[in-house]
Amino acid sequence: MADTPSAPPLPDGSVDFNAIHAAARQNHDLDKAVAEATFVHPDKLAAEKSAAKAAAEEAKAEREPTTETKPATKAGSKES
Amino acid sequence: MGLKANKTALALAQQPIIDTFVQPSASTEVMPVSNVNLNIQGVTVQNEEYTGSIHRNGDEVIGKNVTLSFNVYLRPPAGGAVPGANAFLPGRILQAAKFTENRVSTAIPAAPEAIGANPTTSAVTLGTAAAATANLYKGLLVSLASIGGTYAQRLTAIRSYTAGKLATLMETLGAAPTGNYQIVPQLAYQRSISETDPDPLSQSIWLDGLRFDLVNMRVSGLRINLPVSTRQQGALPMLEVTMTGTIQATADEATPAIPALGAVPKFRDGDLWIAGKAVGGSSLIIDLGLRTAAPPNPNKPDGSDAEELVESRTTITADLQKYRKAQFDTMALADAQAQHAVWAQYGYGPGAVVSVNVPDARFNYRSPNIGQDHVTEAGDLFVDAFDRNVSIVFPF
Repeated sequence: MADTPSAPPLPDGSVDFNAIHAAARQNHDLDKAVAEATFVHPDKLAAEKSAAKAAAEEAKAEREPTTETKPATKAGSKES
Repeated sequence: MGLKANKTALALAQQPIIDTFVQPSASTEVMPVSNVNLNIQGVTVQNEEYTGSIHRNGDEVIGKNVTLSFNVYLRPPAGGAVPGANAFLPGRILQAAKFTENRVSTAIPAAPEAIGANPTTSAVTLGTAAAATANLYKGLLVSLASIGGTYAQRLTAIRSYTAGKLATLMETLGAAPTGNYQIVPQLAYQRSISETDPDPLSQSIWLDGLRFDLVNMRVSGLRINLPVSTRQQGALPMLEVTMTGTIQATADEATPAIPALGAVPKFRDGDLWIAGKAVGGSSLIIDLGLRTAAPPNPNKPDGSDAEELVESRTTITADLQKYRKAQFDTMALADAQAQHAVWAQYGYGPGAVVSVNVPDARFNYRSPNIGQDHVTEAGDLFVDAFDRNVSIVFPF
């Protein structure tokens, strides 16, 4: 952000402007500073963590599919 | 014994997760409101079946649409300092209407410092402690030591801010400022134009011992109404709120006591500046033009997902005195369609001032009204979709 010193749009919620101001004074990344200065409700944080964990487990399951043994076709049987 | 209308109370809590009701506290999250209207509207569809006679079956009852409207008198937060995150209860309503709660807990800089070089009557360069970041202080209040004798008179609103630290003001000063400046501690609600949906609210409303719990409540209407108090008549500045959502539950529970919050600051002895001119008028109304809708979803008990904000179109209605062309030519302003600031501020000491500003608005044509003692002029200004395009600021 140092090369484009313009304040990012305000996010939803409650933000600590003094933290954003301090980051701006030090030419830090303002998008990151705004995200860090935004209050996140503990319940929302817990829900987001839980969703992220579930997504990670799902992704892991997709990467390591369980090997299914296909039942042997009976001799003489016809597959429709 | 009937239920008494005066024994009405409203409590509200922020609801971080859709469909998960958060029970508001009946002691710490109850707030004074007025003109409450809880509207439960049955949704029906006509039964078209023939019955073999002229007599038809009654309508099918589909569901219910719940809206809650109320007014909140516009008072700064109590306590003499910028409150913690989400603590100011009317601020939760503003947040649900896509305002960001911007908390300047500590003055910038901590001690007033000298302004920069070449100040004018409409712009001032901030000093070394200010950040060189464009738009950073847009919509906030700055105190300029030389422009007034009182706390409130020294406060002025920043219309725009450049990376060169030039703060353009919403008023035209009597003389170029001198001396020190300071961005005082302030709780600023500033309109966000990010694409996300803000958190809805959970609300409880008591009607003399009958409690309705409301979930997924979205702000579907919000007007900031600033009527001017005059020698002859007074009216209180307020937020006019309409919320839409779903009834979670009902219960019989005594109405809680509502804390008395003291006098409401009146819109007088302050500032009303439009396009750099101090103008007289009887009221200023900012309508956020919100609209919500509930997407259909048969997996949900009432067949709908939670309400979502789907549109906002901000309009300002200002009832002003009519001025001669040389003073304030609103027809020329409407012809030109340039952007102009609208700024209203009133109240006295720290923690008792209310400041509402719109940095950029365009004039519609306005029509003179000749029916009363003075010629007045009614009409709208249109607000485009800029970040921080409406701010309500409470300085300390």
